[in-house]
Amino acid sequence: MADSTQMLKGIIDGCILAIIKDGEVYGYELAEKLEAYGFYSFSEGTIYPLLLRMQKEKLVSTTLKKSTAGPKRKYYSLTQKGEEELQDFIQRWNHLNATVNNVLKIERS
Amino acid sequence: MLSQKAEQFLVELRFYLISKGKKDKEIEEIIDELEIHLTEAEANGKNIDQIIGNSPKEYMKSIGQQMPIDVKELITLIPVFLLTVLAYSTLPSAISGTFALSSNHLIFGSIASIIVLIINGIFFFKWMPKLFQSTWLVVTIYFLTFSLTTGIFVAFHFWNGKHEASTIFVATPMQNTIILIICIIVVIGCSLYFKSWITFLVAVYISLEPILRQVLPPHINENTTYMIYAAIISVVVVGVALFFLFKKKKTA
Repeated sequence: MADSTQMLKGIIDGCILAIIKDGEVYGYELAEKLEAYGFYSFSEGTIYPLLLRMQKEKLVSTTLKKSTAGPKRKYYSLTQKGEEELQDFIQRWNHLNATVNNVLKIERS
Repeated sequence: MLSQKAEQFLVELRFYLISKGKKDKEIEEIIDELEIHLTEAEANGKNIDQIIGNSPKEYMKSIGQQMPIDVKELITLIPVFLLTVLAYSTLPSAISGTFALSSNHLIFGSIASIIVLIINGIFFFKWMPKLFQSTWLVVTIYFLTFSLTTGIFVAFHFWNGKHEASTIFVATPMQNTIILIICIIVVIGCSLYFKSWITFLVAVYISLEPILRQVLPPHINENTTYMIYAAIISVVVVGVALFFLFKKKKTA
């Protein structure tokens, strides 16, 4: 992956929503999961501006929970609006995915 | 334990967000969140560059863009700040009972004050966060800023003395007392608002010279050697106080 940062924009948003839907997570956990899925070309910190925006748009809600040491961890969960946004993303992605695959299949053969 | 580089980044981010007028509570939240992230990531052998990317500045901007500006806080902060500055600049003349206003005071005095505010703003928000790791560097830069600030005001006073402009207002002894009382109330009020002893102590520091001038007998008062001693001692006292204050803040 040379530089897919530009390509990732927007797509990361949808993946974050999908991971949060799977269960409450805090920032570091979320970054680890994204990495485990194969997103290792982007810097982890990128998720925080995105999470801040999602909070502002009320796609996610947050709760503070005690951690073993240091400050409290902030856990994210999906709101109703976030759920709708995720469904929307899945549709858009499926369409885009199919379209790009079509182009590549025909143009390369 | 956070690495020095990570700690430095968090301090710079905090001052950056404060200087952009973001809400205190949200600043605390994002700093806490990043502190947890950086601590856990570093414990797992990751480097801070992998987390915030190649440009800390760009990363700070991307965080700041997503945070609302605290308009309410800003609207109250600016007048409170101006009141404090006004009280500081009025105190000495009100104590010595010579409060007067001239057009030069109003026009060039405010220009001098604005320049001083800008210099101090740069010190607090641009230089201090960068040099945070070295207490000595901070104190050195503080002395430079402090000397420059004092220099500007001294220069203004000399200039003002040479260019006698039309005096607009000279306070009667009665008015002087009232002005002094108002100054004291403003200083106390602003100290409470900022919840800081420093705001109050600066006022005491400013008042010390005119108070001593009134209390001390003239043969001590007009002796230049004593004056030089007093100036040196006061600068050293402020420097030492700042040094310990900073040490305490850093370990807190």
